[in-house]
Amino acid sequence: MSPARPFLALARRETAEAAPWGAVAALAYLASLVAGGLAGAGADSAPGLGSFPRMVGWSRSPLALTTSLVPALAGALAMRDDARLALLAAQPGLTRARVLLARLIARGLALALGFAVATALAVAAVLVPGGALPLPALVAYLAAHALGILAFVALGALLAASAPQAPAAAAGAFAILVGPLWDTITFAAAFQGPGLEGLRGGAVPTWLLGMQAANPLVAYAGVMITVEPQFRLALEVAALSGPVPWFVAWWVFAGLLAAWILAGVGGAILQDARRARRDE
Amino acid sequence: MSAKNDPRAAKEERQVSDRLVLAIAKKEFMEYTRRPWILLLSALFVVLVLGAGWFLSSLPAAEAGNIGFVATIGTIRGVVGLLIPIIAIILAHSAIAGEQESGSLGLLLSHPVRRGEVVLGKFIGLFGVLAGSILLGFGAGAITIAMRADNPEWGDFGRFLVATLLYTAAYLALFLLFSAIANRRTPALLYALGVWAFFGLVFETIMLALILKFGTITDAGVDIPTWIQALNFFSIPNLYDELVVASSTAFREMADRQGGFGSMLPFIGERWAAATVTIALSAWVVLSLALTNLLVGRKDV
Repeated sequence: MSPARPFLALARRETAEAAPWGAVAALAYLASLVAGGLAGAGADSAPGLGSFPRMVGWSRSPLALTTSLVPALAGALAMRDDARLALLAAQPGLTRARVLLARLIARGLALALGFAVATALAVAAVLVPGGALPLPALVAYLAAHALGILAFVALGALLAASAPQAPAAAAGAFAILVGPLWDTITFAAAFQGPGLEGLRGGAVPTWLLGMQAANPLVAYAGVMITVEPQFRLALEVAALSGPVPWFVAWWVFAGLLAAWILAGVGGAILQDARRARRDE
Repeated sequence: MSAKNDPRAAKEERQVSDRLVLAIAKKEFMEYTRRPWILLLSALFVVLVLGAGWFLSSLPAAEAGNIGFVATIGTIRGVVGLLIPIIAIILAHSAIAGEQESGSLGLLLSHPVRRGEVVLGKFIGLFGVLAGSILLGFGAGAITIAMRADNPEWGDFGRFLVATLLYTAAYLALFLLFSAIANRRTPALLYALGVWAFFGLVFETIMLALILKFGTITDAGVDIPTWIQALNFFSIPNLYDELVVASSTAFREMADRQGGFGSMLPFIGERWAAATVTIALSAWVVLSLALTNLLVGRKDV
C-alpha cells in the first residue's frame, strides 16, 4: 500500500469531522459580508447592495476578526494530545506528525469551504440586483482569505504546541493581540510621530509600515488593499495615496502569509515531536 | 425533625450550601489564575486602557476633548465589548463540558454537593477571574488617567465599570449554558463561537435590515418602530451599549458627538432606561444559570 493512502483516508475523515468549524466560519463570514453590504447600501444612494468591493470595504473589521479568531482556535484545538491522536499515530503508514498535518489541512479546508459558501452567497446578493464584481478585487479577496485562514490555523497550532495546558486561551489571546490591541497600540505609536494630521496627509513613516507588515493580520489585509482601493479604510487611503516603499505590494504580503503558514505548521509539528519524546 | 420544619437546621443547611458554593468557586478561581495565559489575558486589559490613554494624549486637544475617563471610555468601549465575549468563551466553554469529558464532573458530583451549587460555584469562580482582570486592568489605567486629567469623572467611570461587569456576567452565564449543552470541549467551543457570531454579527445585520426596511429617516435622526427597539432586549451587546449610554449624561453626549443613534430604546424614556436595561441584563444571567442548572441536573455522569 502506498504511504500516501492512509494519510489521504485520514485527511478525508478529519475534513468530515471538521465540518462544524466550516459551518461557524460560513455563518460569521456571511453575516459580516451582509452587514457590510447593508451598511454600504445605507451609506449612499446606490441601489441594492451595490458593488462587491464596497461590500467588502464596509465589512473589513468583522472579516478580519473572523479570519484571525476562528482559524486560530481551530488550529489550536487540532493539536490536542488525546487518546485518538495516539491511536491513529500507531496505525501503519501514519505518525504523530502526519496525523497532526492531516488535522490542520482538514480544518483549513473546512474553514476555507465555509468562507467560499459565504462568499458565493454574498456575490450572488451583489450580482442579482446588477451590482459590480471586478475580477482583480475578487481574486485579491479570495487569495487574502485563503492565505489568512491557513496562516491563522498554522499559528494557532504553533501556539497550542507551545502552551498545551491552555490552547484555546493562547489562540484567543493571540487573535486579540494581533487585532484590536495591535490597532490601539500602533495608532497610538503613529500618532506620537506624524500626528493625526500627518497620517491623514499620507505621511506614514517607513518603520511603521515595516512594523505593520510583521503582523499576519495586517499582511492579510495588505493582499487586499494593495490591489483594490475600495477595500481601504480611511487612514489606509491616505497612507497608500502617495509613493510607498517597495515592500508595500500584494506579492510581499502574500509571501509573508505563506511564510507564516510554513513556520506555523513546521514549528507546531516540531514542538509536538519534542514534547512526545520528552514524555516517553 | 427535618430541616424543612426546623429553622435552625434549615439555616445550618444553608450555611453548608454557601460554603460548598464558595469552595467550588475558589477551586475554579485558583485553577484559572494559575495559568500564565489567563494572566496574559488580564494584562491585555491593562495595555488596552493605557494604550487608549496614550493614543488620546497624542491627539490635538480639539479632537480628544478632555483627556479623562469619558474620552478614554469612548475610545475603548467598542474594543471592550469585543474582548469580553472572546475571553468569556475561552474561560467558560470548557467549564462543564471539559470536566464531563475528562470525567472529573462525575467525581465532583459524587460528593455530597447539589448540582445547582456546582453551577453557581463555577459561575462565581469564573466571574471572579474575569472581573478581577477587568478591575485590575481598568484600575491601573484609571490611576494613570486620573493623574493627567484636570477633573477625572470618577462617577462616570464607576458606572461604566458596573455596566461592563454586568455584561461580563451575562456572557459568562450564557457560555456556561452552552458548555452544559455540549458533552465535549470542542462542540462547546463551537456553540459558543456560534453564539458570539450570532450576537456580534448576525443580530446586528438583522436589526440593520429591519431598521432600513421599517425605520423612517427624519431631520432628528431615525424613527424606529417600538417593536424593533424591543428586539434589543434579545441582544446582550446591544443591552450593554444601551446601559453605558443610559448610565451617564456624559456618555449620552459622547454618543451624540460620535454620530451614533443615541439610545436604542427611546420608547422606555431616559428616566427608566438604566434600570430597565440593568434588569434585562440581570435576567440574562439568572435565566442562563437556571437553564444550566436544569441541564446539569439531567446529565448522566
